[in-house]
Amino acid sequence: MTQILSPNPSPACGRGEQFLLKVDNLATRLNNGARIVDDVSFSIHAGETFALLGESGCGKSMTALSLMRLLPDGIHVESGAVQLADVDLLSLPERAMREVRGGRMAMIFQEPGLSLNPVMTVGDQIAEALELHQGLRGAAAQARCIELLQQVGIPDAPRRLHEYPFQLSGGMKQRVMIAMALAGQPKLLVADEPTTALDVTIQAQVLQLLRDTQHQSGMSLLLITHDLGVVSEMAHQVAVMYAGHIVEQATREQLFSRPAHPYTQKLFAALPDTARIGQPLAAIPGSVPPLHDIPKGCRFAPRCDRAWELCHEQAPAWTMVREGQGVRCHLYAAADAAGSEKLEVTSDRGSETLPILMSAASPITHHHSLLQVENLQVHFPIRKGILQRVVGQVKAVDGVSLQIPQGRTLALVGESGCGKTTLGKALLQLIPPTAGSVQFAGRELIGLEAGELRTQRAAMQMVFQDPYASLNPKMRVAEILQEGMEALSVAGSSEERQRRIAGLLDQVGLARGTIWRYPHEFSGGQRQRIAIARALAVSPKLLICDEPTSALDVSVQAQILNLLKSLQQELNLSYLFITHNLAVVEYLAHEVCVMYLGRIVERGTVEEVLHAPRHPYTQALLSAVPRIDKRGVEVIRLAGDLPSPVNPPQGCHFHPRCAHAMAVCRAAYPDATCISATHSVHCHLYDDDLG
Amino acid sequence: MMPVILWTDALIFLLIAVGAAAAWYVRRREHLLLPWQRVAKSSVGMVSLLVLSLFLLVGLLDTLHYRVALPEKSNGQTVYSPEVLSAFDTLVSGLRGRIEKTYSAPLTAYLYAKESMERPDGKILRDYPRLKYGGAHLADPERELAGDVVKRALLGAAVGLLAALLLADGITRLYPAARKSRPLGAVFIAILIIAALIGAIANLASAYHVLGTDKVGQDVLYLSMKSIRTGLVIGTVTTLVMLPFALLLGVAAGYLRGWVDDVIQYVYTVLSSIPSVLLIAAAVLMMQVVIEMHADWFETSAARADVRLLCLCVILGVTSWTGLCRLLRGEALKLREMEYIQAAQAFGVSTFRILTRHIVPNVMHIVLISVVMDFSALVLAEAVLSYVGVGVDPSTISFGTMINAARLEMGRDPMVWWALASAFGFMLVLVLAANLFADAVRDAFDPRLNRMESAT
Repeated sequence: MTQILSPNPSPACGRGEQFLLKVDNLATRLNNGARIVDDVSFSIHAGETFALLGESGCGKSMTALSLMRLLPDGIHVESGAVQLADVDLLSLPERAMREVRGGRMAMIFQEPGLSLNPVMTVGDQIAEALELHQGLRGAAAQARCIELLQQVGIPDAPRRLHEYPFQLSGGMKQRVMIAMALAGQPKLLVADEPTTALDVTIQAQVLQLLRDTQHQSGMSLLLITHDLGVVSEMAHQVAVMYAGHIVEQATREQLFSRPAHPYTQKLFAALPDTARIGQPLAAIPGSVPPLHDIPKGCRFAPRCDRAWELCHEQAPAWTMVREGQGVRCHLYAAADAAGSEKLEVTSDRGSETLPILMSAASPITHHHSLLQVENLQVHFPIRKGILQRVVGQVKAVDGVSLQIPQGRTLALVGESGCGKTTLGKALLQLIPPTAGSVQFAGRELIGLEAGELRTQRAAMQMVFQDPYASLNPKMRVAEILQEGMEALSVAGSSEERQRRIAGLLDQVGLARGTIWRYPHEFSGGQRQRIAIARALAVSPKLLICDEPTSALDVSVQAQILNLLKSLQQELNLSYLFITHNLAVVEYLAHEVCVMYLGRIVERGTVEEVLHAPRHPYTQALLSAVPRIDKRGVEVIRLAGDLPSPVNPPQGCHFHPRCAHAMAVCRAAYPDATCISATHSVHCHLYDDDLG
Repeated sequence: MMPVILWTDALIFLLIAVGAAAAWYVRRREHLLLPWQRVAKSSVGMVSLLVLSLFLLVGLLDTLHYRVALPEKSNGQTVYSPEVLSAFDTLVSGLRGRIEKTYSAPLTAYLYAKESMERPDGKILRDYPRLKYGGAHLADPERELAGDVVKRALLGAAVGLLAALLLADGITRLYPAARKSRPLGAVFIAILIIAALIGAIANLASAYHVLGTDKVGQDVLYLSMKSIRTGLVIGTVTTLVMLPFALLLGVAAGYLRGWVDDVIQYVYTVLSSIPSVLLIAAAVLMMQVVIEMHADWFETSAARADVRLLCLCVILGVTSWTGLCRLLRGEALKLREMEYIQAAQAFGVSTFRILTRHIVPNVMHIVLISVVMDFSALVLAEAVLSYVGVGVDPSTISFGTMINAARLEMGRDPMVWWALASAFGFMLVLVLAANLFADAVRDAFDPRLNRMESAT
């Protein structure tokens, strides 16, 4: 399944006149006066995709909810006008508004698992929308439901109609949500982070579906996202939001070739990518200001390295940089006043044709292996009946071998549910492995007594995914950092510990004065710093980082990645970096293992795996990642979802989704084939290569 | 005078100490203080707290027990009266001492039953006799009573209002900031109303039986106020007994899983499937037998009644921990999957430490809310049990015993309604105040209701 990837062609007709949706100076406030959405104006043409881009807490979702008039309690639209076709939405009575919602303007949400009613069948939920907006009932409604489900690409639609949401996978649920949204034949579809909760391969499917649907029905799409890659694949027009303001608005081509606002430029620069290996990412210092504490003047000024006095005093007005591209920044207003249109603010993007510098660190030599894992298995028994007999095994990790040398980073890549996190926890002995061997610095960890294991714990620590869940909200920073030292009796006296805590805070870039604060006083990025400091407190040699940046915004992600990289150089740490974000892998890792359904299907150096992938799964995974510079590249779309590890497919686990599947793939699991000294792959396609 | 500390007194003092320590701890920690500041901003919460604290005050005064020294000495040693009194008894000694012959309705000057009286001329007359104390100052109650009652009530209310206004003025002078706070207006109005009410009742009670008298002529107002302590003891001490079971077992079951979880689950499933009244009745009857057989264990009858009350609390506590335990097990099951618990495990932190430092602090909000909610249920449970006859000692004054006595009074003709009505009224106000306060606390601790506040 290959196709050319690009947004639908821009609707040419009626440019500049026929707006489907026109928003003027929309302002939404909290009841206490904080402006969440401030002076937002944009318009969407029929058949166009308009992307609202920004970090979390910038007011993107609140803008969408203001349009739908679905704001939660305590928030209200203060001023502004919203016109959908010729209807003024904000002055409509609630009864008429209900006709608009779903009928002319539909919305899909981020978390498909939460937006479907778990006790209603899929068919009933779609039929509800059909009855309301189309007046269809009974057999007619059912026929239309099946049609809709087929339209969103759900196989075997007549049967799925009678299934409940729990019987569907995440991607399927999002498809059902889209089908529900389409049931009213809306003119405008508002998609609030529609793919953020999905894996890359599923995300690619859903984005393709949205493009196809738009192509067929000619509806407009308001796409809310934080992902520049998604924007570049989908959008015609882009508005960048920051702290409630739209700071820049342009066509996709303009934005990606010449971003004007310093914030947009920084967003591009903060993306990890191959071109920047070896140099620190251009992280934006600080984080998005909290809504109650919005700075006077330009809202981005405190984080902007080009701000001058005026930026801190006066809020910039909207300035047109060129036809179709506007920006809210003093840099351009000043340029206008001077009359010198050509004071072009150089962006980092255009000139970026640096050759790929590989492996900024030393080339791969024989490093002393720190962690050696052989044939590790973690199986969870499935018990049934009164006697709790074991009726099957979930093979979460099924025979994984890997090694990590001192001071190197091994990235473990795979979709959710493939067993990455379980593997990480099994290495730490947080989950008892079923079989295999984990040798750390030459010492076998499996089967150690609790006491002996404790002495080994200090050397291996973990940084977790969600910084909001990984710090105990009832403990202060000092207590959090001390806990590990006390449990493992690192640093004997209390003064020594205090000194160490101060040192740790310096290391991870937090002020020393913060040690008596509670986690809720910190932002996501700062919390992740605390979590890293906690792990470092016991001087580990290996850090297992389980998606440490996936819950963070792009600009903050760059800060954390820079920190991890500098810590590695400083302390000669080894990392096992568990992630699904391939761009991060390119930036940080030396070697990569690709995992599919509990087994490693391909391994090698970053260069080998990411630039010359051999396994069809790796290839598909790489091409599914939305990228900003992948225009018109041929892509491979994976069909279907990750199979359940309870009942993996016979033979090669990947064959049901593989475009190259052969008879032998259905019969036997492929052995490792070595492509080079460091690169090996489990795939029958390369059996011959071995000779 | 010899101070007496009964068992329940000691436990109440312990509870006060724990409460004070907790308040001191919370005061110094901002994130713990925040929800309480929200409670302080809620008008309903503050007014119900005011009402509740009046009940608490009465209960506390009633907890300071002592025995009076008798004038005669035996062998040079002071002999103390066998009767145990409390500070509250002394405060309202007027009410306690003025015992009529039998029933009398609220605010009247006559008994409720006709009696044969011998007139000075030797004739026997059957009529309602005058009360010994109630309205005794009136020459002709038939004519003067209504006017006197209104006059006394108004005078008392006026004095009460004046006192409240002086108090409020003093407070605003001392803390000018208090004038601006929002719930203070509601609290101020509540204080005025309550002060006026107390003033009126106090003034009336000096000359009348405001809520009438019971079968043996005791003042019902006095009985009702004495019942408050019993209700509070049942509500709080039972919680104290129940909490360790619920907290330790619930958290251990949720965190440790495996066979520990199985055993604890079986225990509480079995316990909660036995009808609770049956279980409590069996335990109370056994306890009664033991106490009766060992009468020599107790110096005074008050001590015996007190031990019986304590045993009732223990029995109630041991049988009622299952609900909270189940809640906490569920919460601990959720918490054990949190990443900070796993981080602690990765450090090799011991199980006990994880339980005490990571799990318990994070379930305390549930404990707090359910404890306040349970309080009112327990006060009501005591009334039910006493009615069934397995409650407190008959000599202990409680809402339950009052209601139990009303069983006969309601069947009488003409009906005696005031004892039941006042028990009902006092209990309603106490439980309502506790429930409203619990509601305010629950709202203050609910993160979903308060998410907007983080942006203020």
